[in-house]
Amino acid sequence: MTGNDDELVRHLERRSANRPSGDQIRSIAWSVAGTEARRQPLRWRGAVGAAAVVVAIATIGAATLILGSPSSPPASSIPSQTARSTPATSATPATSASPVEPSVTPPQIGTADWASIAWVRGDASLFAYDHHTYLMDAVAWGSGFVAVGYTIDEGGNILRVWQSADGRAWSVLAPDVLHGLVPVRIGVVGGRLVLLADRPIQEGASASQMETWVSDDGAAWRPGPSAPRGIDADSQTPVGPLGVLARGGGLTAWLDPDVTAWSRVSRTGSSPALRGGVLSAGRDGWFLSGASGSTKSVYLATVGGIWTSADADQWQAADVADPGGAIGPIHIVDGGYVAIGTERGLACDGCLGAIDLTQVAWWSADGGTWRRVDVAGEHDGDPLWGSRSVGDGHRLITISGARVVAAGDAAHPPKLLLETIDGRTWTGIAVAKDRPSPAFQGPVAVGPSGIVAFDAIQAVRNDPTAFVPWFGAATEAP
Amino acid sequence: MSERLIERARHGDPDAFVALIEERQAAMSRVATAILGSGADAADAIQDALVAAWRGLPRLRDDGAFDPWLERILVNSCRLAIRRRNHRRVREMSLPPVSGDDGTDLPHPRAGDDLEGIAEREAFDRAFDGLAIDDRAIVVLHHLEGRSLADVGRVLGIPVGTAKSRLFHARRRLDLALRAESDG
Repeated sequence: MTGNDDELVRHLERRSANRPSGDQIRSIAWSVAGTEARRQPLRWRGAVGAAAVVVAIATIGAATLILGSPSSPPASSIPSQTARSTPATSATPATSASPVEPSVTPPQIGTADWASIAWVRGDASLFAYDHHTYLMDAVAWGSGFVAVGYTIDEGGNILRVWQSADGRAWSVLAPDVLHGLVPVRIGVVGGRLVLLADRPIQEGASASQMETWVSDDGAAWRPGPSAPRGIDADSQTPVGPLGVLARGGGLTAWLDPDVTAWSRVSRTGSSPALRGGVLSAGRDGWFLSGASGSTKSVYLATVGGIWTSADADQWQAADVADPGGAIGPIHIVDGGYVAIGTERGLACDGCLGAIDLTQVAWWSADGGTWRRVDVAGEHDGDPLWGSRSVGDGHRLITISGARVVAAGDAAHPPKLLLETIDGRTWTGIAVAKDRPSPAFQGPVAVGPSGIVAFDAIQAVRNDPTAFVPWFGAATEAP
Repeated sequence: MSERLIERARHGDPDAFVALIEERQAAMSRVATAILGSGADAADAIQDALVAAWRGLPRLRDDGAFDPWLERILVNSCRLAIRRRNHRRVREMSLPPVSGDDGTDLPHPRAGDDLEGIAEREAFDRAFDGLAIDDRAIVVLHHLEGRSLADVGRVLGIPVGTAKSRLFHARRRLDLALRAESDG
C-alpha cells in the first residue's frame, strides 16, 4: 500500500491535516517566551533583571487554551457535602490493614522549621551521556536520595538509578534487570523503594506495559507484583502510607503497602466527573482533586473540588470553602493536609495555551473540611505564583516561580521558598541572594536534611550541563 | 535574518523567539501531527519542544544548526508525548462535518468509496502508530517534508548512510504492518 511514494505522502498529509493552527503555535510560543511573566507584579521577579525572560510551563492536569478570563463558576456546582467516607465494603485491596477514612485528629507535630537553605551545585558529569537522556523522578530515602532516568541508546532504553547518601555526592547504576524500561515514578512504600516503569511493547512505539520493581538498597532490584493490564503511572501517581494508587484503561488499581499485590478497584459509579483530576495519597485514604463545571467552547468555567475515599472506589465530596477554579495535588503535612490550586478554572483534558499561574492554598485537619489559608503573610505579591510544591509527608515546601524558567544556564535568581508544617502557618526560608540556585525544572525531593533539585528532565545528547544536581542544605530554626 | 533572530532570542528576546517559531510553525505542526496522529498530542509536543528550545538556546553554539537542532528536540518531545498519551482521560475525536460553514448541507460522499477510504485510513494509522518514533520521524521528514537523507541524518544525529538504511527498514516495517492489516 505504501510501495508508491505518492500514496504514502497522501496518507501522511491526511494524517497531519488536523494539526494545530499557526495561531495556536504562536500562542504557545508567546506563553513560553514570557507573556505570563510580564503580567506578574512580583517583587522577587525584579531580581531576574530586564534581560531575564521566563517560560511558563505550568500544568495542572493538562493545560488548556484560555483566550480570556473564564466567567465566574456557577455556585451550584460547588461541592457542599462534607466528606465522611464510609468504610470500604467492596473491592478493598489486599492491604495488611483495612483502610479507614481520613483521620479527624491530626498527628503530633514534631518536625522543626527550616530557617535557611544553602544551595550547593553538584557534579553534573555523572548525569551526562552521549545520548538523549531523561531524568524522570527523585525521592528522599533514608537520609539520602534516589533519582531515576534513562538514556536512549542504539541498543534501547538504559534505565539508570542514581543514589546519594547525603544529597551532595552521587553514584549511578544501570541494573541489567531494568534494561529496556522507561522509569515513570519512584517512591518509598513500607521502607522499600518501589519503581513503576513502562516496558515498551515495541521500542519507541505507543503501546507499553507498566511493571513494578522493588529494591531494599537501590542496587538490587526484583520484580514486584504485576499490575492489571492497562494500568498506567506518571510522575504524579500517588505513593503513600497505603501503597500506590494508579489508573489507566478505565481501571483503578491499588498496590498494597506490603507491596505484595495490585488489586483492581471496581468502578461503581461514584467517581466524580472531574476534569484534570489528580489522585493524592492521604494517611488513611485517598484524595481526588481537580475541577468540575462547564466545558463549553475553549473557556472553562470550572470550580475546584476535592473528593475523598477510603477504598478508592466510593468517593465523597469534601467541603471546600472558597474552592477557586481548580485544585491540584494534596500533600500530607504534620498538621493535616494542604492543597494547592488556582483561582481560575483551567483544568482541561488535552488542550493547551495560556496558563493561570496564580495559586492559592487550602488546609484541612482531616481531609473532609477545607478552608483557604493566607500564604502571603508578610511577603509581597503572590508568593505561590507559578510554584511547585514538594513535601516529605511532614513538611511542604513551595518554590515560587519554579514553573517559570529563567533564560540562561547557571545564573538562576534565587526562588522564594516557603514552608509549612502545620498547614496553616507559612514561613519563608532564607536563601542567599548572591549565590546561584537551581532552576527547579527537573525532579525535586525533600528529605530530612534538605532538598535535592535538578534543573531539567530532558537533555539532548552532548549536553553535559542539563542535569546539575543541586543540594539545598537546611538549617533548622533555633 | 534567522541568525539575527537566533542571537536576539539567545539573549532573552521573546519577540525574536516568537518570530523564529512563526517561520517554522507550519513545518513543526505538520511534522508533530503526522508523527503522533493527533493535533492535541502534537500541540503538547510542540509546547515541550519550545520550552526545551528556549532553555537550550543559550547553549547552541552553531546558529546554522538551529533547524536540525529544533527538529531533534521536537522528535524527542513527540517521544515524550506518546508516553503521556495514555495518561489523558479524554481524547480528541475527529468528527465528519455535518454542514458547511454557511449552514448548508455538504454533498454526500459516495458511500462505497467513503467506507473503503475510512478502512484504508484506519489501517494506515494503526500500522504507522505501531512504528517506533524514529521510524515515524524518518518517514515523515523525508517523504512528507521532502528533506534529504543528509538533512534527516542531521536531525536524528546519525550518518547519512544510517539514515538511508533506517528509512529502508522503516518503510519495510510499515509495509509489513499494512500487509498484516489487510490480511487480518
